[in-house]
Amino acid sequence: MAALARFITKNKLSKLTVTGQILLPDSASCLSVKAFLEMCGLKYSVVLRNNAEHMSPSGKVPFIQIGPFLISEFEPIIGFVNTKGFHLSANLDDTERAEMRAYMALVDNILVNAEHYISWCDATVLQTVTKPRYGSPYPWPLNKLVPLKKWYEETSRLKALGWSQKTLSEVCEEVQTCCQALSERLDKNNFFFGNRPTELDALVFGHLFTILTTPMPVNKLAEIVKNFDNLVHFCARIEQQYFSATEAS
Amino acid sequence: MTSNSNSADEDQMNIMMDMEGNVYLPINKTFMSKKARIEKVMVKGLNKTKDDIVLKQFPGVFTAENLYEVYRKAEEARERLLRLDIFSATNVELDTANDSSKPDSYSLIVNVKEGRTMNGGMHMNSDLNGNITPDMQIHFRNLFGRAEKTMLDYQFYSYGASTSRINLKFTKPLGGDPDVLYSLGVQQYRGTQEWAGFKQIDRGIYSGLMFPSAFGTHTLQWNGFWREANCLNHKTSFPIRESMGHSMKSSISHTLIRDRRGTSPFPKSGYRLKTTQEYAGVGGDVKFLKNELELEMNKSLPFGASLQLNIGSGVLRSLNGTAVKVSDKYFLGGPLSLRGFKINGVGPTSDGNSLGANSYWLGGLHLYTPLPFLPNLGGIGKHIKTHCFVNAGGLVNVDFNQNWEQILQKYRESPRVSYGAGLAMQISLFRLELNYCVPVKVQPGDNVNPGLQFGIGIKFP
Repeated sequence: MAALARFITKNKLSKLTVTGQILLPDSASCLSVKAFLEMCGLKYSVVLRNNAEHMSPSGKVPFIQIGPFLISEFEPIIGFVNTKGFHLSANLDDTERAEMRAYMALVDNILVNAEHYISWCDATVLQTVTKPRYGSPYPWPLNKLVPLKKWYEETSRLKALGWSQKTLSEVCEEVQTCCQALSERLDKNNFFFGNRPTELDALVFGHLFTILTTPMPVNKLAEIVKNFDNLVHFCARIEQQYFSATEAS
Repeated sequence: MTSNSNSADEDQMNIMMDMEGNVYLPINKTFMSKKARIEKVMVKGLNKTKDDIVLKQFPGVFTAENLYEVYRKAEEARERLLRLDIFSATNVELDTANDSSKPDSYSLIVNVKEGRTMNGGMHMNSDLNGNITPDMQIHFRNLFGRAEKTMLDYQFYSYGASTSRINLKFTKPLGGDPDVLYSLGVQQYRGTQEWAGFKQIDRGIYSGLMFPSAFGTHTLQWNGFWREANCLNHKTSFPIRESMGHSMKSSISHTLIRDRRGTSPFPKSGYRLKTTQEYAGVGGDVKFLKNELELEMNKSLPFGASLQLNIGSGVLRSLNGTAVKVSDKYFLGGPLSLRGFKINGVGPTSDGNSLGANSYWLGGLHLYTPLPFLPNLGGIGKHIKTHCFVNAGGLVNVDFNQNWEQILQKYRESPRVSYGAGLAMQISLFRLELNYCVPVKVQPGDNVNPGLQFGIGIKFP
């Protein structure tokens, strides 16, 4: 039984940039959720609003609206969808599930923070990509003031996590380690656990695919991921299997 | 001879003051016939204040031809000097000229004492919910010598309160005229709109000009504000969520106030008219045209009672097809607006949040009577009255694509009416009311508050 969900994220086309308002970390989160819903076989529609962040119950995108319910972010959405009877990892035993959670935590701690770092702490990316994009839906002077406020919030948060003090090469090392671990776990299989996709597959796909396909002036992250052939092929496979079909229909 | 002596001597001036504090110079035939001219004006006691602004308060003083006119011009000048708010004391004296060949010539001597430059204090302010918050103000007077003022106003965000504000404002009378004021300010205001489930931070700059005309006092102002609206909690309903986020309002507004009421509080005669037009769209992404009208009329009745009629209405029309954000919409309801309803609780509502509308109308008919056991005049009796009232009003989402008849039909369709009685108290800017309300006509979705309702608010007396 397919439930219809409305999937809300932000991506307003502006005259400034070609690809709109959304930033790398948010784009990755959105793709993870989309992949999860596709893997569950759930139908959804995508709505784009430039104030989606402020509409969200937790202040982060994406969030889904099912009837009167609003749920935001990857983990809570998984939890909610599970309560409706859709499970991806039901066939895993407890050990495997714990392992899966550990890898998901790895992605959250490393990849997600690296994406935020490259968007907000790298000077080139900040000035040429992040600030113009984030401020694009707003008139002057908000298009300068709003990204500035967000920059302050993001760097404070990254500082508390210990990430803003890292150098780019340190961040790259961490990403390298993370990809190494994922690549070893995936090995020559189609999916991370068994021959069916799990939440981990959705999460990894969302982040790696976005890193690989988002053009950035500083491409370090994409270069690191490209070193791992099985991860690149994994992304291509998932895209082929779950997203090309949708586009064709 | 000084202008404020009141000896019974015929040659001297008798100043009369009535109950309301207005000063009268009685027309005395002796003074009308006695020729007099002002030869010279001397101002003593100026330190920081520039000469030109003081002299500008004495227009036509040299055209006086008799003693009565001399006194009248002198008194007018003194009053204007006081309104500049530079001096803590002013005193005007007449002195005969030294030259004996001109017996009708007088010198006007103005003794002034400049007030303290810095002044400040803490007082109480009230937000829409009736929470009392402390408000600290620091005034700097006469900054550059021409009655310029700077005011810093800091209203704390105290526990339980829902608003805080910090405001820095500079005002200057133009051309030395205390009635023509130019102002420039910068402000940050934080407010919580619990009735609609969101909170908002306004940051911006404003600049305006206030001036009198035959119609009343006009204020022309430009406002440039960055508004950031965020949901209050997870219960905020979806239609409100759609209005959240950042927006920029850059608007020009014109306000006209014509106040012809008797003495406050609880005037027994006269009327007050206030009308505002606001055009938002000079920059920014919020574009609308707003029109508001408020009218208060008072009539005295026997036995110290009075009747008051209040009507108000506002219409907001969004331009460029942009949707109206909840931050700009009208809300209705509460102990000082439509009594018998929760504060801003008149619908349409969604999940308990008031959504507001692009138009409102409100009417009230009050009968004020003095308290039965307190004296009518003087003391506290002046500030507190019993009243009974009828309130009616409504929130209408006007569809500008419809014709007049359809629009008026919408107003007729959904009125809310309540009546009740209680106590009303007005102390300077604060209005306190304790009423027993009976809402008689209510629309589905309204947040009603029948029975005993207590309210505090700011109401210009």
